[in-house]
Amino acid sequence: MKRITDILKVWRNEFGVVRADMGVLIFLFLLPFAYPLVYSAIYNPEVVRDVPVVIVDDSRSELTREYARHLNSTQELHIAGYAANMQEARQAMAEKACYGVIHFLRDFSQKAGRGEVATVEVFCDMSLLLRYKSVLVAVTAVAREMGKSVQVERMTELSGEASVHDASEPIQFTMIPIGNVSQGLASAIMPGVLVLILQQCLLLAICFLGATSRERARLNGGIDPKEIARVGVVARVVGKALCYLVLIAVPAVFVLHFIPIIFDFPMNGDVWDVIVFFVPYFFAVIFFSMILQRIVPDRESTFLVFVFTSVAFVFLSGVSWPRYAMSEFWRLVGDCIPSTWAINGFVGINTAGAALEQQRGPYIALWILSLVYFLIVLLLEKKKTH
Amino acid sequence: MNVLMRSVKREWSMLVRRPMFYVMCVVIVPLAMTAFFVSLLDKGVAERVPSAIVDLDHSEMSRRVVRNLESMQQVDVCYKLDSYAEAMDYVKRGDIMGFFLIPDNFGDDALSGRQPELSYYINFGYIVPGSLLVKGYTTMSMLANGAVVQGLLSAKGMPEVEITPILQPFVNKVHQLGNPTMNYGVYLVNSFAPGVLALMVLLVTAYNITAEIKSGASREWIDAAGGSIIVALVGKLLPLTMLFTIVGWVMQIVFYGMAQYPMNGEMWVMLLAMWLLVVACEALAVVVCAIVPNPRYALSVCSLFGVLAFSLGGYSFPVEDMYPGLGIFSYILPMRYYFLIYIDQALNGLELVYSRYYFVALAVYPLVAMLFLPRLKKVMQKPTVYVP
Repeated sequence: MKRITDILKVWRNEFGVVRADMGVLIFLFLLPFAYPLVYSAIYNPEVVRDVPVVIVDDSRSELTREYARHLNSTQELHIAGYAANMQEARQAMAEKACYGVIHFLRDFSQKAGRGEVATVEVFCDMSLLLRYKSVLVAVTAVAREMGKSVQVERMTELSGEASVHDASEPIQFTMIPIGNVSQGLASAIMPGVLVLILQQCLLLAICFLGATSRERARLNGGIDPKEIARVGVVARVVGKALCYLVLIAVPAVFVLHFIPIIFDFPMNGDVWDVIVFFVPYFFAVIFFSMILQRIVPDRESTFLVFVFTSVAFVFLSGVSWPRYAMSEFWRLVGDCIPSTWAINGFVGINTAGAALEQQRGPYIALWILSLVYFLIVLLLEKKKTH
Repeated sequence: MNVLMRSVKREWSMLVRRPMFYVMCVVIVPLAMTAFFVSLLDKGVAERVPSAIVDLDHSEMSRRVVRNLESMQQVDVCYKLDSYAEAMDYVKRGDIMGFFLIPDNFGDDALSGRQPELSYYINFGYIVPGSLLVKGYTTMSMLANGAVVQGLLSAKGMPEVEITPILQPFVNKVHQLGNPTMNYGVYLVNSFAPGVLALMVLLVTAYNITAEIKSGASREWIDAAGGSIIVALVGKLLPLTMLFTIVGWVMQIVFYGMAQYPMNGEMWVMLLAMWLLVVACEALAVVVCAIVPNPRYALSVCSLFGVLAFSLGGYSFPVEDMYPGLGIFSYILPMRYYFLIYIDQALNGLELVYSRYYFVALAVYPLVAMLFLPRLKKVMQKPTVYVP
């Protein structure tokens, strides 16, 4: 019974400490509201449209003109102009007037007329993969579209009957995207980033609190006057952790529920599954942060020591470069970070529409991390009090 | 000159008083992150995407499709499953990124012209493997078409003809300029690792300037420089500039020497760009400190700049396609100009003249910072008391 009242005492006291600390309030209540809005807005156009390309037409035929018209009418490309030769086109590329060049060789339409393969030379700037992807999608679609009519002609000619016009493509094929229906960048990356933002906000806030407590203790003969005296180690750790859990609840609802609504990110999961899934995540993050808070010497160095980790953690999670392509070592490092499991679980539940049971692996892993980090925090706290 | 040396010495003694901390922030973090990115992405292409096949047909023809899929480089067929529902379950569990479905009666329908439909389901929650699967599966479907058409034609008693011009009258020959293997490391590490360095430059600069306020030594800092804010600042930033620039150069040697990322221009141009990036970031931090001379807020603002650069800098999503109101903010970030110089010089090997404005932009940062020096001097001489 005493233990429970102790936990409650620590819990209430920690609220007071947080309320008096402007820096921590910013991390918990400004950052998680402002940052996801800005970040989502940056990526929200989702796909790259109308990439400017330049055409070099050495064939100068009716066919190439029609081909160019088709290219221009795709959503992905926009013909910015014609160049007299490749040199001029390269020049336009260097000046960023275009990011791709489409070159029809002199014998292009003759070859097509003779029933040979006619090749379109496509030169593409590789600074951004998304731009390259748009160019590739467009030229592939147009080659197929333009090819259809030629196919029908040739097939009819070869088989001598008109009924085979469908035989040029005897098998149909369709791609069905799961979860992220628009196949956009924002809908793929942002769910992961949102989960990570919550972890980093807690990490920064908790490290800030730890460093401030240590600064106060330094001025006060080694004891932080704002800590509750005479409570057990377990009560102190659990009381604080429960306080942080309550504090992150409101930002979490906003970040995980309302941001996807505002920006139309995939939301195919059950709300209760999401809530239950995130409980061990926040415990794991809180205890993880309570371990790391020990290495920060003063408040301000929290920024220097932890801000960059966001970049590392987002990559370890595999939303950008997939986990299966990582080495065993980096996969193992990723396994130790709570966000790795939570991001993959959240993408599974909320994007792919999995039930909690189907994401049992990450869910159990998060409980294990919580438990292990909790025990480590206890050990470290015991060492401190002795 | 003597006062300058005194200022440099004063700063140096501040750095060596906490060697662990500064070695960590200036040397270890940027270089460890470089090693992290280079080794994480050393495969270059995320081939062998875990996936499954659902063959509901079990005909001679469907088995041939399965065999062909299994031999593809992009795809790793981990499971052969018996139903759509089962495959969907694997996707939702995260065991596979997608699957290829061959319908019932596929072989018969194809040969009798009933146009059966192959479908592929891809989890686009993961965009890199998703795109690879699209590529692999589409190639596969075209191959299948080719085989059937060939069969149909010979069944109709046609002579063996070259089949490709019929199936694909038009073919694209795509040249990926600068990065022909589409190495993801080249695409990503060249912007992200210098981005981490820039973030650390912003933070350490702001930390060291505002530390003077926090420790109550800001007046003494200016006095030690003979009352000149320029001398005080140059003295403070000289050691950091040197250290960060060397770290940046080591980073570039790792990229272009060890990791063999494309270097189609002159190495010295990239080294120069790195030095300018370091100085520009320091200048930006100085401006921030002059406007918000408070350790916590200055560092918050610098963190914001440093972290937003990874998205707002247009490293993966083109600035031209962002909302115009957001895209313009890209141009207040020094990292953006370094990135543009990298594209022009190292990746595309253009002449220097095409990048001239980016160099000018980087050089402008210190000049802008000069305008804020009187204000910085004022706040340093009359600092508000620091409250933890």
